[in-house]
Amino acid sequence: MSDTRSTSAALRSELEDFYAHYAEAIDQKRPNDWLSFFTDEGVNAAGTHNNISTTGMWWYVDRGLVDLRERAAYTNGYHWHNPAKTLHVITNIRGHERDDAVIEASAYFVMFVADRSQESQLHVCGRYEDMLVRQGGRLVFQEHRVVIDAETVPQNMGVLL
Amino acid sequence: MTMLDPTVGERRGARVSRDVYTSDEIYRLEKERVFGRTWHFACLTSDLKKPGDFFTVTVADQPLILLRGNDDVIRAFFNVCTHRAAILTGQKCGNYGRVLKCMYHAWAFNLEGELVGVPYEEGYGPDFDRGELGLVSVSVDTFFDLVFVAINPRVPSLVDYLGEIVDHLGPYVQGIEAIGRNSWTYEGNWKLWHENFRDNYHPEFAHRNIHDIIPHYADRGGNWALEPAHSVLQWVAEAPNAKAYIRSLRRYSGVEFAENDTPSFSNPEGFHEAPQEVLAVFPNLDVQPGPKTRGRGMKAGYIQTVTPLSPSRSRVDMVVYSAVDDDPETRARNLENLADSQGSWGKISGDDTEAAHRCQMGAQGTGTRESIFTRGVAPGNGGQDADPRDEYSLRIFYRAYDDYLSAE
Repeated sequence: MSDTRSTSAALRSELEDFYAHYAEAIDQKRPNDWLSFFTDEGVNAAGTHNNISTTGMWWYVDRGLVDLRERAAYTNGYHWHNPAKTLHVITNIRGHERDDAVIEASAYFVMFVADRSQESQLHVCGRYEDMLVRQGGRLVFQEHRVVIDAETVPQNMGVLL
Repeated sequence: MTMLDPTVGERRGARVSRDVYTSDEIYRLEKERVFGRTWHFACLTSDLKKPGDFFTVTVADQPLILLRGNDDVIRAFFNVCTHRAAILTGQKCGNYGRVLKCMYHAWAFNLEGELVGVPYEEGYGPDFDRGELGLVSVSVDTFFDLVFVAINPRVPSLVDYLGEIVDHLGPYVQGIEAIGRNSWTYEGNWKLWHENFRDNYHPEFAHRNIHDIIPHYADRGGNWALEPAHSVLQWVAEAPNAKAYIRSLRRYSGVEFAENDTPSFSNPEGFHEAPQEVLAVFPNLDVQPGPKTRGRGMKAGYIQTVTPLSPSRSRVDMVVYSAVDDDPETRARNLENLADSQGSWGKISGDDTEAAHRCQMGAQGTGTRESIFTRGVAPGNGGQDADPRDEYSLRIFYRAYDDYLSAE
């Protein structure tokens, strides 16, 4: 069932700013900065829509800072190939703050890749289902779950989403 | 026609024309003579549990549907209405109830494929014969929990087709069920992917994590051919070197790690003394069970098929499976983590996909026109005592490939 609650203007603005900086850290290939968007116990997961909705299977679930560092390394040079240029567009942002101060947020994302000598192309798109907390005066992910809106994905998904 | 080096005898299949990766004409023949005449993994028996359950696949560009009938028999048909050729379903799987009805003119077929309903049938005249217009069947057979289909098999018996791999594959594929499916495409010929799962020479080089965590990992492995066209690849992982892994992760990415970090991929529990196998079935299937030493190892792993989309583009379909009697906690852990190393996102397969793509780009080059599979010089198919990096498994693939491709 869709969430019909409205997002306050202040929270929407805060989330838009957060996601813009998050996308920038990925697309500017700053993996150590990407890590700073998570709590030390933060979760980062990705999978495809059908698997998640039927079996609950994710491609991967990174749990905590060491797993996140490992993911950041693979997607920023440790794999033989990482796409040359990426661009994330994050939109349709919504959220609400729970009584325990956890912010449940969702957003759509579209990721473009300009790989090797190719022109920019749509790589994947999907949605984020996130839980954020405030830490040190800024938002950070407690959980960042990425649901790809396709069942077949392209090569070179060794990317941060 | 032969695509291979004319060398005869044991070394046949050792040098292969790179036209097999690029030629439109060979691609057309592959669909007709290889994919149209061999057995193909379709799904698991647990995907067809009750009458009306269906599963669809495409073999040689031809849409097929597998169905469990009211008599509990699994049948396979062309997923094509005999009236005007509309596919009966575009869905991957589901349950049809008692009747498959075409969306176009509502022709209806029962679960045994018989035509049982034609709206305004009298308009076709008195000679109209429903009996001639049932769904067209294709061969289907099971090997324990695996279901295979074949359009026009050269070897009618599935067990005969599997040959010597039966004893290797059998223990792994009993009491399992699918827990997730993923697919990805890559810009490369389909054989480049399948070759990869018969090749124990590349992992310590193509996968930085294997090089860093388990250097010379293949030293204790194996890789040999199984008649008539299959192979088994083995390795035994040793105690991982987490510190070397972290140094390398940092070196290639610039990501800062703490000295005492133990990344999950170098987790000793996951790798120590864990014999594993990849079983490759001609032409496009590989089964990679988990380590035999783990409690779940024998009954959890991956099944992958590669489907050609063009000479230079392919799709890999992966089934992640687990034991039917796994407890909820084990199942949840498997669901989350089994695919982490596989897929175009995977910590291992991401590099395999890249290798296939690079080979495809290079195969266009006219500088050299043959790929070389000559490692291992002893006669025969290799064996447990052969060097694990030898290429008997690849030569038996290309011998069979050439046999199929050359047969009118």
